[in-house]
Amino acid sequence: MIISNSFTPFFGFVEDVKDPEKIGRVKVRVTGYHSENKGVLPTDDLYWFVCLVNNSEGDSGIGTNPKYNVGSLVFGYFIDNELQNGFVAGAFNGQDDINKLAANTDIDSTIVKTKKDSVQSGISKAGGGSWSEPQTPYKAVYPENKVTESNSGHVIELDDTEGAERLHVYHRAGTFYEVHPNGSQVVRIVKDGYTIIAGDGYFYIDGESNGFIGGNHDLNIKGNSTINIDKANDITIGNSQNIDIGGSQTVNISTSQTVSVGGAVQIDASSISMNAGTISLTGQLVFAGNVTHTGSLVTSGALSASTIDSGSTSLDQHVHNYTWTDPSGAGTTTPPV
Amino acid sequence: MASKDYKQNGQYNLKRVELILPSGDSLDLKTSFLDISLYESLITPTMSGSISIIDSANTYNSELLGNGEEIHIDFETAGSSNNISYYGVVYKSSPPTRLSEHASGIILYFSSKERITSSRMIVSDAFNNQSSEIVKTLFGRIKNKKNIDIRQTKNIHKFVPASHSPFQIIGDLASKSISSQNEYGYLFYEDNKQFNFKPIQYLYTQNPITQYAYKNAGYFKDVNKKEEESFNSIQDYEIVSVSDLLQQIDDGVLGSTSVNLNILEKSIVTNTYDNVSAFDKNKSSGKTPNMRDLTNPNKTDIKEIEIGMNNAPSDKARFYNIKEILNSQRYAAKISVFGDTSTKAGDIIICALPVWGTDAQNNDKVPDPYSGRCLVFGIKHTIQKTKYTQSLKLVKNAFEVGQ
Repeated sequence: MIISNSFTPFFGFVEDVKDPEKIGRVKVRVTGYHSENKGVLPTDDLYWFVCLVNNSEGDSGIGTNPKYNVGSLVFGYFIDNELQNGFVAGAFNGQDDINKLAANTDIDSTIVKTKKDSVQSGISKAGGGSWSEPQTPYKAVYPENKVTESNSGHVIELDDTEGAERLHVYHRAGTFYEVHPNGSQVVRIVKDGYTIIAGDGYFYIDGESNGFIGGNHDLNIKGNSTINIDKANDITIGNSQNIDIGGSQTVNISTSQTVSVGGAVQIDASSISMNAGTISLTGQLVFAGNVTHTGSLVTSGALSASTIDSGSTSLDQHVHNYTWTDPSGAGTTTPPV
Repeated sequence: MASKDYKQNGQYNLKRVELILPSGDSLDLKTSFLDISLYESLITPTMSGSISIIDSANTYNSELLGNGEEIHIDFETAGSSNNISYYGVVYKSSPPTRLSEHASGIILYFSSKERITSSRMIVSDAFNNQSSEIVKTLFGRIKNKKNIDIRQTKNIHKFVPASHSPFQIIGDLASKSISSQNEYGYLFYEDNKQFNFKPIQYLYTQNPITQYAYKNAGYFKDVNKKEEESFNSIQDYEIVSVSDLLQQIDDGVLGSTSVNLNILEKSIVTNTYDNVSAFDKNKSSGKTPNMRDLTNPNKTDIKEIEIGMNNAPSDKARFYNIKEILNSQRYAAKISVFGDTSTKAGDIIICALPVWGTDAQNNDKVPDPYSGRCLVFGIKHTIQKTKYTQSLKLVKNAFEVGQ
């Protein structure tokens, strides 16, 4: 023969959820059994009742913890004849307790309105044009949208509304992650964003990519960097550019290169070698030091030098033989000797 | 046992039998009553009774009797200074029965005022104290003419009333209390002197207040003490039918197991009880537990499953309390004696019951296990015009014989 506890059902209102043992218990003022006068029976004097959790949960910290609120109308059972021990089986949704996002009522007082009002639009593209943040495609139909909203305003939506299926996680500050019906994803971070990848990172964009950085950009690459651009690369730098290269730099250009410099170009190097069929200068060529030239030197302008050395003849010491042929003084000199 | 000034047996002094009507008027019933019955028992929180009266003034109809009239009864055994002063409330009246053209008979049923008061009182505030202190506090909230005698408990209880009356809470606490002397079987009851909150194991340890023996009518061992001998003689007796073996097995008195599941700790504690291992001869009515040979060593007669969380269900108090009280009901006898207002429920008396048999009259060695120390489990006081008698229900949880 087995004798077991007698169970007495009850209804009551949750008055405290801050379980000191942190095991999800709540204090319930049981309607009809406990005095409604909190002066006589303070909340502190009520017992902590445990709460049932979902199937397969409630073991070793796995699953979700009970989420009753102060004021929740709950149903449960006393499990002893003295009506001292009890548990909460569940809570009731009253007429004002359905989340507005689930019911799609008074939607302008919800985060849908907040999100629509803060959409980022007209973001410039580097190559011209602009793009905008898509608006939330919220179009929930009751009872397809399963909403969980916390006391402070965090929201999780699993919206199964046909044609407007969404997955949405929203932080009360405005940061959210939303997957749209077509699979597009919008992530909006209203403050700083950090992504830490301890291992390798990969990203793949099959279509166009547009980035906009309103402030400075600092990229620190500890290893090698390889950039492969199949087509053209346009870089516009509004101010100066400084490139520090620890080793050598090699630039291979298949066809031509045009460098247009508005001011002077200064190259500091121990030597410069140029392998070109022709070097054409339209301006003046000035050498502060010696010039050694092994080929022919052709200039259509003046050639000025303090010393011109052709190997055995110098410009300041060489002589020309002169043959006088004309009494007026005109004649012909021979090459320097 | 205190000496008494024995008088003519059955004589009593009826000082007061008075009915106070809601209007404030009083009816003296000393001359109009036929008989009065007054009950006290260890398993009822308050005394109760009934009075049969001759109604020759059509009081029943004019006053609509049976709706809260107060009744005062004050009487004592002749020669005794121990009077019983009872104060109750009439809660029911029988329909009048025609006695003659000029009178009818009615029976008024009454209970102690405290029971009515408690039933109409809801305790709303919570307690967190020793049971004995909670009982003291609750009892103090009822306007009592009697005091309460409380045996100190040792365990702390938090109790959040859930639409409980004071007596309900006290009853609940009794089932879970252990005395500071580790005595089990707490009882909350009213005797003819006071209210009590005491464990049955403590009651067993009391010294006997009197003794009763069965004797043949008209035979006195000492004629100079014939009043005393008559007073202490059993006028009639009856071995009371108690739970049979099957019922005792169902009750788990002979051996049982309690499985206590603590929901919070997800732990199971098992307590076992059997008559022999739990038996303490210093806290019982005799030396050897009754029906010891029937004890179930496997303790499988009954399994109790208790689920709890706030009050540690691993505490075996409730389990042992129930068993101790049930254990007292395995042997019971009723004896009829001349009324003695100094005897009250919860007392220990020494009782010698007759033994039938060929050798019984002349052989002192005839087994007589049921005589000896007995606990007065209940008393029915019967006051008639000519005499005052008592019917005592006696129980014992152990034999006098044995080790």
